[in-house]
Amino acid sequence: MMLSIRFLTRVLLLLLLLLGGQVLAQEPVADDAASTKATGLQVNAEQRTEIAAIAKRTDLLKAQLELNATDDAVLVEIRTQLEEINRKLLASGVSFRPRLETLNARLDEIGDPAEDEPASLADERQNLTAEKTDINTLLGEAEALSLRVNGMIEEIARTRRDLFANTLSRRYDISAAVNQDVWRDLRAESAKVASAVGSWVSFVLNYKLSSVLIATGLALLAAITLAVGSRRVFGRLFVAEPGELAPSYLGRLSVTFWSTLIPTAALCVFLALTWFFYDYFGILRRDIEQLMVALFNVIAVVFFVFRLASAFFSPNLPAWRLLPMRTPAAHTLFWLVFLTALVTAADFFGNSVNEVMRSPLSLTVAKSFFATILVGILVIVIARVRPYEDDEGNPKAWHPLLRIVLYLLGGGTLVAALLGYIGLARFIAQQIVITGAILTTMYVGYLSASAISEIGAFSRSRLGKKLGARFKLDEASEDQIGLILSMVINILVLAIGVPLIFLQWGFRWGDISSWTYNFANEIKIGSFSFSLIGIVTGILVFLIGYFGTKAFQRWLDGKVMARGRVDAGVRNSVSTAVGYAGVALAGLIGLSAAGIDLSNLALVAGALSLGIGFGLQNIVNNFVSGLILLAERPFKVGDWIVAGGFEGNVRKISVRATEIETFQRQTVIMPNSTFINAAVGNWTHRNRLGRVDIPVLAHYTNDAREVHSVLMEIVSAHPQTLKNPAPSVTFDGFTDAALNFTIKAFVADIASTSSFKNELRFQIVERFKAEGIKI
Amino acid sequence: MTKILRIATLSLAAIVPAPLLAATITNLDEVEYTLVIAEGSSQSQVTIGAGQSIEICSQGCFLTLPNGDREVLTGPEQFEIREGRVKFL
Repeated sequence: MMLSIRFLTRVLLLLLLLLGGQVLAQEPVADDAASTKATGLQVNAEQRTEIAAIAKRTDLLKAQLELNATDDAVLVEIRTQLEEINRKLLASGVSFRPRLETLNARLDEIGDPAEDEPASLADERQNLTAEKTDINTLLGEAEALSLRVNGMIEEIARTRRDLFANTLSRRYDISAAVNQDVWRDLRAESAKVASAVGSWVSFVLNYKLSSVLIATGLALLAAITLAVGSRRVFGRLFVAEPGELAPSYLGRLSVTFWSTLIPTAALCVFLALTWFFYDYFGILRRDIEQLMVALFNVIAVVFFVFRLASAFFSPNLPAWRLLPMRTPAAHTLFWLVFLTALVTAADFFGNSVNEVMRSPLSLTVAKSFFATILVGILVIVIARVRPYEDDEGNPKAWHPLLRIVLYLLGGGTLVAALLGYIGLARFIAQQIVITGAILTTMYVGYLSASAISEIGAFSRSRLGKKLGARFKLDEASEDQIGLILSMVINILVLAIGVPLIFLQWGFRWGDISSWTYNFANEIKIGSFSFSLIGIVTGILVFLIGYFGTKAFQRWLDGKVMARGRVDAGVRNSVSTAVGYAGVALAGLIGLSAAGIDLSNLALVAGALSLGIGFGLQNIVNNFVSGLILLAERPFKVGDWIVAGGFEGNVRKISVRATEIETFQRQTVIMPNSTFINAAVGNWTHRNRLGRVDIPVLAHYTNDAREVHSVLMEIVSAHPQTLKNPAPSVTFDGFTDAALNFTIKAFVADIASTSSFKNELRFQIVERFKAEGIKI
Repeated sequence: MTKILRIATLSLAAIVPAPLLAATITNLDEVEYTLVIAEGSSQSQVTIGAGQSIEICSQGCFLTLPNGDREVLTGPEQFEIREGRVKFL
């Protein structure tokens, strides 16, 4: 009980925090101070100039847009600026809101024009209306501008899509690229790069020596801190122990994941800091900066793939491999994957160099040509590797589907490159590396989720043991937590991996979030629409209602009714009734919170209702009988009843049926309608008093009065016989062979009379024998 | 069984207060209004009947009421139309 109250408090606090956070996230209502008309017009004038400035800026951006219709990076920059303009327009529009509210309020106060109003009032109305019209005009200008800006943003998106499609479908002349001139151009470009870097280095050494030393020093410091720190803090997580010969699956997965993630994160932080410090100290020249950024991107991606491959294939530590691969295959695969990433990255970097140095097109084409051919070949070789072992120990190839995909990708790159579609080939090669890396990481996450959901896996893991000790959970609960955790991991893997893939395919974060929002909010199938968020809300509301009802029931039963010394049968009835009512209410509210429009279902339900009605007739009959039983209580749990030909003690009264336990310990489950529609005999309805009837037959030759007095003696002498009502022996009748007597005795507890009846019968037999009365 | 239900309830409670971004507008008058909404790069007309409540504008828009009043909406706000005028809640 204690634990559940603490738990409930925590749940409540959490809910309050979440709701509070949501409330705070909403826009605060601006507190408007009473501003005079003069300042009002002043504010309008300021806003007007600002909107004019924004309009000018938009014109400039439009000109830039037309000028740079082929440069993707510039387009992105322009789009960012346009989005900022749009935000500014919206913000300035919102800033008028308090003033508009004041104006509207005052205009409402003043009311409509009347015949005999003072001139000052009419003047004030005129002034207020004028100011309001002014504001409306401004808002109209802002609206027009916002429409224009958003139109430009959409135009940029279209242009970029067209550019992208063009890049993919543009065919280059290979023969022009693969000739002697290329070598000459390559040498020329190398010389240019060398001179550019050289000139920058000398510039830096001569003029910015101190800055560069500080920046480099800081960057190195960051590098050392991150490297040492991550090893110290997380080392246990991601170092694969060579000595461990049979690590658990979960252990291998966790090492794979962390040994990829943590060093890559550390490296990314280091690279970002380096760039930041160099930029801060103004050391970078524009072209050097572009080269450096490209180089850092490339280093990060290659390092990520390197760590992922070395953890996944684990060439040196066979025990830590995720999939059971042959060791030579693991070595081969590791190097192949690493080389693919390296070549693609080098191609990317090379392209940046070409852009910065403004190299001739033939050089770019040639470089990408060879790079993509190499990547295609590497991927095909990967497809041909036979990593597994079949039952006889012979090498076995990849799963056929995977092989086909790899052949297609490698072949596609190769063919595209050979045919001259260099843009397409580059795109495929880059996607192989990046999307492949993301998919592999998602796969590892998925494997972890499956591993955790295995029976007992979570309770054996370190985290599971810690949680179990802290919250004192038993194994069944730990198992269930493991199941939930695995579900959460799967959801996380999808939620992080899929947007990542889309993002680097070129979609925007705004697109992705609005898709998910629309999908979650409304799914339309024909004319029937429902919303995922609504359903989740509905389930949540129902669960809250359900637990609330249970808690209320427990409180009612335990605190209110137990203390009020209410009869056990009444308590049971009230508890059950409250439970039904609560769950039904929770279900109704949950349904309406889910926002499911049931009116469409009503037509179908109407048609089926006749048949269902006939079929459910008896069930509903039983259900209503059950409710009546709860209310009227003709018997309670523990009573001895006779109904429908069965006799026994009532064990449980449910909504449809009641359980009776016969004296032979057989449970008879009787539908409730038998109790309502037919007579029910209850031996213990008001009290447990009852009369025991024992028929006795004596031989005709006996003296009837003597038999009568003997029987009266016997029954009165027994301690369990009640004096009030007094026992009696009736002489019921006689035949030519026997005299019929019946002993009628009242006992206190009619339910336990078997020993009483036995004892009486023993005594009767003994006394008859002793008195010589014949039976 | 109840423990797992409790944990499920908690997790749901964490997901559900997800950003519900649209603005809600309630028409408290007896007549229906046609609003002009400029969202994104296009204008559209939305009719809101008497007593109706609709959700509009998931990402900021400019609103024009039939009587010429203009408003700017950004994000999850609630407001009502009373006697043709807009009032924010």
